[in-house]
Amino acid sequence: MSWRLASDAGTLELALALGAAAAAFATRPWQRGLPPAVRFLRAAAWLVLAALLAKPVVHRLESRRALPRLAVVLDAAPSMASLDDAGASRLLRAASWLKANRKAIEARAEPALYAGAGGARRLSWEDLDSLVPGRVALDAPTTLADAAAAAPPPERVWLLSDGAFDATAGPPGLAVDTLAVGPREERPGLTLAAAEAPDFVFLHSRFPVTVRVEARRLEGRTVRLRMTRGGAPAAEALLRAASPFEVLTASFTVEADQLGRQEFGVSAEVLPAAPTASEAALPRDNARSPALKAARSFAVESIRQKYRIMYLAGRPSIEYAHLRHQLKADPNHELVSFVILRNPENVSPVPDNELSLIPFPATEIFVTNLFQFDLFILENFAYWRFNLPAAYLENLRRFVSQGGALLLIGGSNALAKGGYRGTPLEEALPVSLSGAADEFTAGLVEPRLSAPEHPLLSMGLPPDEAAALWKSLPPLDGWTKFDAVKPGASVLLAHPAERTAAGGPLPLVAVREYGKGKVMLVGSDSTWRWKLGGGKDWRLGGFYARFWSRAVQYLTGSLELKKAAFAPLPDHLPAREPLSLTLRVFDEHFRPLPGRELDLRLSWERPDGSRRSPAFSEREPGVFAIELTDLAEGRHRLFAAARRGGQPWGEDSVEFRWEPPRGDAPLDRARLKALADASGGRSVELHKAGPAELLSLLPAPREEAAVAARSVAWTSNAWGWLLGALLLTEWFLRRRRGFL
Amino acid sequence: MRVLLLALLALPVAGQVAVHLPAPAVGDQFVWTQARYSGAWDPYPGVHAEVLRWLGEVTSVLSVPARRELTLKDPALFSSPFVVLAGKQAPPALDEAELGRLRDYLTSGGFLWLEDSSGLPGGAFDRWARATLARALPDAELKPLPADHVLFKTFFLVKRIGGRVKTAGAVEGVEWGGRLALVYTRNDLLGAWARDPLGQWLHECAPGGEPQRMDARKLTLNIVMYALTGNYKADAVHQPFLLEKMRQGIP
Repeated sequence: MSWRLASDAGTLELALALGAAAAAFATRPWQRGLPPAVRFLRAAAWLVLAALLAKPVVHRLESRRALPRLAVVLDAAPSMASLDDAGASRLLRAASWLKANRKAIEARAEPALYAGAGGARRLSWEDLDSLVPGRVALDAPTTLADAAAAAPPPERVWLLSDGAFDATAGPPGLAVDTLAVGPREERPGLTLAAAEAPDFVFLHSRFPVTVRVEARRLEGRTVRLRMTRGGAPAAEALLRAASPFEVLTASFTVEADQLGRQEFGVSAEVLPAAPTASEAALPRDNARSPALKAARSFAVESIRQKYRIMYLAGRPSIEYAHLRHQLKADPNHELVSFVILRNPENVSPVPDNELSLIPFPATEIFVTNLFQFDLFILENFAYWRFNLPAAYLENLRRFVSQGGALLLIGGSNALAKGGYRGTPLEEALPVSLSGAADEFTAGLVEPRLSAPEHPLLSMGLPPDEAAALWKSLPPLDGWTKFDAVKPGASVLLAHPAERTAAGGPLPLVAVREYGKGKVMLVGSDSTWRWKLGGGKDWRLGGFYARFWSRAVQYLTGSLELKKAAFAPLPDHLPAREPLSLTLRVFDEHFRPLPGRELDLRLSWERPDGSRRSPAFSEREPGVFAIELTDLAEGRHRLFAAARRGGQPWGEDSVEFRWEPPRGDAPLDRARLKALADASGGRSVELHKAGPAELLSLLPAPREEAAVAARSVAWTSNAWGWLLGALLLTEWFLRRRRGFL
Repeated sequence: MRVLLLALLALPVAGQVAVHLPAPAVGDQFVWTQARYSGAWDPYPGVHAEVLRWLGEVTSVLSVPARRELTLKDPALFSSPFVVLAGKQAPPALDEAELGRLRDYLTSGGFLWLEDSSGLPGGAFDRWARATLARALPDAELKPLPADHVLFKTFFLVKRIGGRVKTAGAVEGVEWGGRLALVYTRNDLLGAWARDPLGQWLHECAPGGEPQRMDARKLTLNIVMYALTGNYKADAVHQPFLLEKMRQGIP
């Protein structure tokens, strides 16, 4: 037994007590003329006052043995009703296990029991007898957080569950041991537990894909993981299971080489025995028959971060100056441009070091760096003039066929005059080049809209507005003759009167898809007139920038991309509420478009055909989180429509099938193990485990000095009387000695 | 007789209509456009041909030999991306409509070369130019271009400002939207190009003589090349080459 002095005073009272003690000390100099007895009485009064304000308490302490606090959470979700191969529900087995081991547990720990569902509900030991599975899936983060928030807080948590929940991390700083409740007999099995990839990636970037495979009773066997992209093999890995239960993990690095949604598939198969190196290299059909298989799919949306553009012009021109300036000024473009300032036949009036000329890096442009670009622009460039190998144009054709974009701008040195007729590149063009001597003709021409509905011409405007805009443009100057428009090509703008040699409309602007890429041909290099026209007519202000911006987007495939897009959903949706979805909205350059610039509407069609407008919030600029609650089993459809500046901007829809928590959910050992591993806990099988293994992980019991009794002295009236007596005596003495 | 009368009546009408017709078609060729105003708007007739001939000899630029002449009220202004306005005396003050068109032209991509041909510091043309620009572009500033401005390396690496005279040591300009919309020179660059009917130089270049004339010719071409290539020579890909040439030194 021991004693300890404590205080019941609050902060303010302690401060006042200190103040009283300080006052007793500070007033000493003023009392030097007073008799010692008076000074003593005054000091005593101050100290009594300070002691009263400090509220002193005397604790009588007794030593005792304190057990570590343990929170025991029983998963009471619907899946815990499953009987498995035991003849009793999972929940009943978990409760029975606890009751059977109650004595051992209480001997080693101070347990607090909880039932887990949407949160943690405190249970008594007696409640275990009547505990039944509920209708709500386990919200593990909330439940574990509830248990961790108890006072006094637990030092460890046990979770008895079948793993039918989503969380893979417990409360920070608290170890969670998981006790898997499920079938006793386990057959060899393979489950693709996860295929983790980002929802959105930037084109040309490399991103990781992590695949987790749960291997049960497959120790010593080899699992072959294959990833496919668009149905074609993309990567493969061989993994070996070493223990009866193991989560095998493989990471692949994938390059986003195409725009838009890309479908991936992952399959896992178990080979009958570990293959030798030569067996692994064998084609699949030759390998020994796989015994177990699993597969799932996922999707990744690829968007552009920057457009990488190469612009090669045959000579300085107003078109080059303006288009280069336009492309360069756009922060979404990475432009490399070259213009031929001097031809071989030009004279040099000064030494070379007085000229700003640099060598024409033809090999770098057409060979070394070509495939790094998204768009290649050739403006009025005479290919024949530089004696370049035909292989360079074949390379350019290959660049387009493999997904690159090509923009050819005409002029008196371009196309047939530029030496492209009969070259490999002509094959990719939307037209057959003309052999006429007067291939390019100067002359003002007002283009006729041939395909007003084409996204490049619609300019994102209603049809009548777009048509009026095109009609008000200044004329172009010059056009190129062609023999014919190739099948599959689209004439967007045509000469109002001239025809091709084949008799069709003569294109001023034509486009064509070639292989995986696109080609655009502009038969005149005078679109700068549209820019200057903006000074004369305010309606045309910005037209030039918008047209070329859209042209770049069209050619590089971005114009067709959705400006509003739901993040791809996994093929297995979690059976819990709320269901979270993500919607992203982009501007014309695929930068996030903040909600303040948008009118965003959502419509949710439920399985019964009814519609709701779900709530959403902007998680970060341009990224909207949607949470769906009160879900019903069946097919759901969510539709999003974004408007910007009063105009339709983008829309997207997503369909999914949702199922409520199932009573026969499989035992998810991987999730339980992941949760335990993440928190520093241990994962065991309930039917194999005794409590001793987990109890040994608890901190050792410790000796604590507990307060057995408290003696509160400051509440006694005697302190008040003592203070009064001291002050009265002090007054009496001063009066007696004439100090009043 | 009646037909002749109708034709005579139609002449002034046709003349008026002709003013509003679009600029003649030139295809993809460069056009030297000179601004016309009441007064001595053309101090050196024929100089443009001299400039364009040399431009064609030393660069890959194709140009129309004949120049285009227009007033600031001409609708063809917005089809003429390169305009020279030169003079020895102050042009008439621009009215509000002309100022507005000049502003619209410069801010929508047009390029104006103002050339003070008087060769006099603080002369009448200079005062007119500064007053006019202050009214036309009040939110832009006419300021000297630094020596490393891209204008001085669009084709020739120009280290000295040439001209018939050496009135100003710097070229001035107005930046708009990341490009030079206007260049103002005061050393009578065009005077350095002028020849007499026998093909001899019309003026001596003082005080630098023929090197000063060559500097004027180089700068003239650089101004044209700036209108045709913009800030091309400011691209990073050129810098190592240009720095090396600078290091080698220019006479």
